[in-house]
Amino acid sequence: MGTFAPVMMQPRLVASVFLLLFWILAIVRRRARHLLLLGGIPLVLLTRDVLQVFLPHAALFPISDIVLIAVYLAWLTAHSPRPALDLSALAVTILVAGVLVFGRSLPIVLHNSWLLHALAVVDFLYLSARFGATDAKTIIRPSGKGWSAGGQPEAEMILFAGSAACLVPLAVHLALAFGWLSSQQAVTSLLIAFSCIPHAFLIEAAAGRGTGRSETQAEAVSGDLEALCALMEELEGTLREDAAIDRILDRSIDCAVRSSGADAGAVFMVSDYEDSLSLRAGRGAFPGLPSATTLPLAGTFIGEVARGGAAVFLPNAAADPRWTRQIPVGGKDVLSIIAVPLTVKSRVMGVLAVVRAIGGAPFAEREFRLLRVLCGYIAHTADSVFSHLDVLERKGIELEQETASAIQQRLLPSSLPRWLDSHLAVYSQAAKEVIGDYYDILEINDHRIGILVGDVAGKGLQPILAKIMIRAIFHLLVPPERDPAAVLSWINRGITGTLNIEHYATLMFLVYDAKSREIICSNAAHLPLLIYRKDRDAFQKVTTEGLPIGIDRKARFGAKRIRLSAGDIAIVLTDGVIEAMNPDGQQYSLERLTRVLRQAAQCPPHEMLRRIRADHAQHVGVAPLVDDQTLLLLKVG
Amino acid sequence: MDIKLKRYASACIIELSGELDLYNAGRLKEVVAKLAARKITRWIIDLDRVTYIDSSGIGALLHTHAMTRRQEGQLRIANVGGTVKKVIELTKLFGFLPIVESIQEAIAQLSGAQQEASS
Repeated sequence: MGTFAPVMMQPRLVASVFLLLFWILAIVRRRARHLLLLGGIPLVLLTRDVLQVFLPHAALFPISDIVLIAVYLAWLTAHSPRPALDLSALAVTILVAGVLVFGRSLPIVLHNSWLLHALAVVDFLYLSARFGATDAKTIIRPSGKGWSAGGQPEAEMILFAGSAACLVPLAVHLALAFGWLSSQQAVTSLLIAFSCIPHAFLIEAAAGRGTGRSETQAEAVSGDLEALCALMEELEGTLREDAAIDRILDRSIDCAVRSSGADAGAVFMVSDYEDSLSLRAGRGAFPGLPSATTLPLAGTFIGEVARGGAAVFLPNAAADPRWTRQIPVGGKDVLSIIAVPLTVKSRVMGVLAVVRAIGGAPFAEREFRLLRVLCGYIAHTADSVFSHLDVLERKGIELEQETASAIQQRLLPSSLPRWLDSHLAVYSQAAKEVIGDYYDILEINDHRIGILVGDVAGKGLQPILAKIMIRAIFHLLVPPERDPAAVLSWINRGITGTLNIEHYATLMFLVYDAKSREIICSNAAHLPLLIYRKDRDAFQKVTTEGLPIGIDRKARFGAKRIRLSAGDIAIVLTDGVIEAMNPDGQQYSLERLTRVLRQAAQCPPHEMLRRIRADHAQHVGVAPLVDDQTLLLLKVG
Repeated sequence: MDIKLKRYASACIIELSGELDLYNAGRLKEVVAKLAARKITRWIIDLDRVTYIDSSGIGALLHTHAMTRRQEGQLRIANVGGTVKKVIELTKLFGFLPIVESIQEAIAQLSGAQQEASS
């Protein structure tokens, strides 16, 4: 006890105990488990100082210094995200430390103690230059929003340690030189005691920054999750109100700009037809806009991102040739840029890009990671909207087709004049998505009928409207008008300009006189009238001049008169009959139809029709019906 | 059906490939509408790679022809062959639609028409 008190009054022992208590307090107060490794510092110092009192040896200080350096290096390696980079930056410091530890007994050092301090100052200046330089921002990234992860706390600590390591002994030597301190031994004790202070600051800095860094990481993840949830909520609300793609993209860029702290942003979508991107939504002054709302895929930064299909992050755009190769208007004000392609199943739909302007802080890896996550969600949402619109369009068409089919049934003639029973047979079958065919038969008098067969282009309700108009004009004109060319001309004048030109119609109108056995026909670009001549057992095609109905109001139509004999057959059909394909893709063809007709020519019209339909069904098999089919047989008695 | 656009001077060549039918005709109409909105009204439709055309495809060509007239533009339809030619002949529209033999002829005609308009 008598010697214990004087021993404990040694300044360096007091300092070491203080450091140990400081370390324990830092761990307890901050719950900084990452400081456990740094506990080696006060323990080594305390051990050294106790041993120096009871078992003094010159090697104690160099050995303890080596162990201290090893503890610091181990801690740095364990907690730095870039240990190799940090260790390489500390190489000079380690070198200087080596000289300090092992070189102090060298004669050149013994006689020039200022040399050690000069080395420490050089090391400090090197560390400042190394970590303060612009290109060292991989380690130091000052941000107005606080420290970012990635080595900055370690760099700050290293700078502080360097400064303390050289400034404290420098101050002591200056004090000695100017006579402010007198005893070398007192100075040495004080120097060793004060050397604990930098360690305390290091522990304090590690405690605060370390927990701060852990909190920053947790906060970063939490922040990203919040941003994603905000985006999801925003887009879900927009989808409920209005599934318009431009609104979706507008809300998306708004969220992206806010979440990333960008100064401006834009969404571009790839064109379906051209090698270009078009601007669909924007925020702020994005470079190059609004002077150009389309960008070519080749030769522009955004275009190259779309072609490459990979996200690109340029922290320093002005130094990157990918940006500087072709700087758009306003591009020189860009400090850093992030561009992420909107991709679904390897298909690039567009690109979302955000920029920060010069004068502020550049983007960090965190914003890059966040935007990649957000853009994945945006891409799938946009893709869902496109698919949804396709479904809506199909549903709309299906509804239209169901309506058209119902109307179609009501347009067809419900019954035929009885005297025609032995002369005429007709069938018409509508395909699911088409319903373009139309036929009508009007009795002019007791031996004369007018027959109209046609095919309206397109699908949906528009062709139905065209047929309603044609039917109305037809029923108005016939009777008394019996001139087929005149009838077609009137129909054409009534239809042209009323409906869209793409719903033009091909029509065949013929008048059959059973007494004179004559047909007068006029053809508006429909399939030719087919006549089977019984006496020659041959087929004849009859057509006249005339454009399709609904194209040119002034179109002229010809007419032909054909004399028939008993047993002759007139066949009017639409192209769906002869173009119907079997499962192998082969068409039924006119040749096959005429072969069947020739074989059944002796039969009454209904039997002929039955045989043709049977043969047709045999050809088509299970292949789906893709076009309407109408076939009318008129047999001269 | 694929649609590719190529600019040539003040005209746009619309290259179609595949089937121009009931299901794809609407896309051609969309493209010409977008071009018209961008004040591009001189079109050359290239049918060289079209393998099939039905009445809806013909309707889309007629629609484009009508649009050209409304916009006071110019239309040429080039490389009409095979089944496409048969269908157009069947509908007697060969003389009605502005059909030319080749893209080169179309370009030459459109250039001549432009010179006439400017003189």
